[in-house]
Amino acid sequence: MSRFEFFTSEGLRIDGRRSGELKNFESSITTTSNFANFSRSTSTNTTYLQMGQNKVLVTINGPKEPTNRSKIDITKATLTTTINISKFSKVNRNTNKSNLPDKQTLEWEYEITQLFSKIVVLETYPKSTISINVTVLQQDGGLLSAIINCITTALINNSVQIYDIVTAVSVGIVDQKHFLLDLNHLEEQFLSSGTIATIGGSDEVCLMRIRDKFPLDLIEEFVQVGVQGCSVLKHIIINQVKDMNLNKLVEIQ
Amino acid sequence: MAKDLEISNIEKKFIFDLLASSQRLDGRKSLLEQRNLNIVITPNKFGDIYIEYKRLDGSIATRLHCKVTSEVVKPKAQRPFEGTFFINCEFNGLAGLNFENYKVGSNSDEFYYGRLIESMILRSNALDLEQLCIIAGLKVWNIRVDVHVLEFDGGFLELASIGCMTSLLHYRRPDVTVRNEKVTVHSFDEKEGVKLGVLHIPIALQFNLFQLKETAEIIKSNSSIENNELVALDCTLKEDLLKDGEFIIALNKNREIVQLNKPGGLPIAALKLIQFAHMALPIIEEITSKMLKAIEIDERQRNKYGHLLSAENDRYAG
Amino acid sequence: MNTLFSTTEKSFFRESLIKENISECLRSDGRDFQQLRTLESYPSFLNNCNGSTRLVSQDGTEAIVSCKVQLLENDYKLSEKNLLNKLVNIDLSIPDLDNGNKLLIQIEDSIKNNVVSQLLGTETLKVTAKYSFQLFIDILVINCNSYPLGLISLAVYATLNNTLFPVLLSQDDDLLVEQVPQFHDHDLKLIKIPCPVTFVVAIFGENLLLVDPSEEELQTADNCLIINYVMGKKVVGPVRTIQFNDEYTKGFNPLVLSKAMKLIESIGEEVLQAL
Repeated sequence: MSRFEFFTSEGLRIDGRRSGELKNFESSITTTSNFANFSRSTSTNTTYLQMGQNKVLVTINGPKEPTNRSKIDITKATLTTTINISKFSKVNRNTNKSNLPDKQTLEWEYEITQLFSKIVVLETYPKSTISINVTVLQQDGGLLSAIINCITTALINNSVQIYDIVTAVSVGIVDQKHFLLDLNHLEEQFLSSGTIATIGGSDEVCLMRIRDKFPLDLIEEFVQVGVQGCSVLKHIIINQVKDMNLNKLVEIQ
Repeated sequence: MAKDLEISNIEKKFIFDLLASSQRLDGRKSLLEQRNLNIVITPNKFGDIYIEYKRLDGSIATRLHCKVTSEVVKPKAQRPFEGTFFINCEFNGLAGLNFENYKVGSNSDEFYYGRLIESMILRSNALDLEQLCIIAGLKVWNIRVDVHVLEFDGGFLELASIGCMTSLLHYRRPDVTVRNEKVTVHSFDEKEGVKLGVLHIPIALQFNLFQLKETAEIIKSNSSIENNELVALDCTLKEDLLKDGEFIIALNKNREIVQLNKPGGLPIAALKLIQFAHMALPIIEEITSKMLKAIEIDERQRNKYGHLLSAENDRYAG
Repeated sequence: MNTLFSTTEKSFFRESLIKENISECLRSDGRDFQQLRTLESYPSFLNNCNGSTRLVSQDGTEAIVSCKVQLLENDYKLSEKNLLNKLVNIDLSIPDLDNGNKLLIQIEDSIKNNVVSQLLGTETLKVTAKYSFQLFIDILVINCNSYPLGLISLAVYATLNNTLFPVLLSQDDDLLVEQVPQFHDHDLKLIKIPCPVTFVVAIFGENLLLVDPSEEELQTADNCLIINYVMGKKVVGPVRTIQFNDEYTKGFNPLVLSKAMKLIESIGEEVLQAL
């Protein structure tokens, strides 16, 4: 089997967490609006999220008029996503010379665009585009879930209308019976794992992604663990967003 | 897919009403019924397959051509012991004029589906890449599957996954001998081809979701008992354009999920998701047996005179 | 970047800066003439890297700089300068711009020359007789709203000042022995790499010099100077000019140059102290 003991008999994981414990989650916004009232750009808010060792920055550009006339949709806004995984995000620096995104990143862009097209109330912004720019500064396991959580927070911070909060966690399985929540890098590398995102902490799944072999009979428990994790995360995000906005208010005053 | 196609509101409503009463545009009577699958293996060739969905009246709805080719290449530096595998999916004017101006590699549905199939086969080790190694670090086989869409009326993902797996199962690569680091590739006249190491057969199935209510209502209702959506298998092109979400599952016969993807779109209750996952298994088992049968029939025809050439004595079980 | 202003806007910006009496001139964001934009700095915020800084400027531009250190075997055929060029690697990316953009190359070169020029003749990067540290400095600019060189150079300066290097355990003379240097597992030491900071100065007429010009000022200035300042009240070369508009650009009195250098010498120390 694997070289590491991922789940000890005492119920602890490599990094000392219990099986259903989330990594520490911290998000913050950088607003430059409190510096000066004079600002041209609409996207002066950057949302910075730390989920364990994942560090993600999201800026949201828009809603604004599209530069390309052919992209205009008369009834609703169009959403675009770009993900930029920086070269220094892993322990060993990526030596790839080109700046083109790899295939996995393109897949994520597709999935995230599809996901948020249903979550953002696009009908309120006709004839405009909203572009989501994600920058990954450091990656640990469960990067996709960190990106999704960060985008949700960024959308709230930029006052883009959404139906409800989307939260995502990664889930892995050890020895066909123990389910681990919110994986770290080592766990993700050696275990069968997947990402699950739900809306509003309910059991409505809006994104799911398993790319490893996974026994069909265990899917129920997998989903259950994931949905629970998501609903816990939703409360964390709500609290943090409230705190952030209180701070913002204090700063402005 | 096919973004240039526009469907009028009235047609949209018609199709939705049909779906709501469990009827389909092409005459199928159930949402979960698939069209007839037909596998045509080109005789005298290896890994050259046409795969079709036929409508009830016998006309061809979707037709794909899958062809496997192989060549000897230098392996990637990180993986010197493994061969390489590559899938190339192409939509072109043959499938309909509206596909003509598609860019390959852009962030489109085709790209996503192509990637899905590639990673379905690669990540689950369905194709044994280590068997494709000739000399470690110097020479390996590169297996390439070209998928061309000749006629299109929905159902790309299923057909492409079935087609890829069938052609891989059917394909023989030329035999090689290595002597003193010198590699000789034998033609089929010289030596029989070697089958590829296919370890298990994953097949993808796409469930399409159609929403019945306003998005706000669905998200806020928060109860999984209510019926918020319709789920259909094997959509036609028009239905495909109208769908609000999808759910793709790739399984093999050994009750293993190879891929499970729900790329955004309409949210769906977790319980239903699990239901569908279990529902997919018998369908996939049926398709797998169909595939294997088609290959077996082809094999028998190919070896029509095999028993005459055999040096084996007849044996009788005691 | 490339914000378009109408002719009226431009002439308004320009007129408010060109006045008979210098005390009447106003910058559009209300800053003093020698005041930089407000900065927020987050040093060492990436623990995967040896050094990192995130700088957020008032106009929303963010520069993220990471520095990674690797070991490289010396190549004796190279001259010192070429060796240093190999040891210092700068990679700048601005999401909106593609890879071969002239602006990127210009900024990369400028930063690289700055770092290399101060390392010449020193042995800061030398580990043993055979091995040296190789620096990978990755720069990321998000939300780029104006010419980012000034911000980037400040961020690079801050990063190189908090970059931690592994501590050597084995002997430093390994010319005769075949061995790879051994490093302490956890212990890291700070090696300060002196790095000049670049200031952009916009010239308006004979008298007015603006430090760290904003996009409006860049687009209406007569000319702009790029001046490098290094710790200890020194302006170091090269001093260059750069233009951002076609409408107002013209030559300037050489006396302005010495004035600008004096100006930078007077504020440089304070800026570096603040970081």
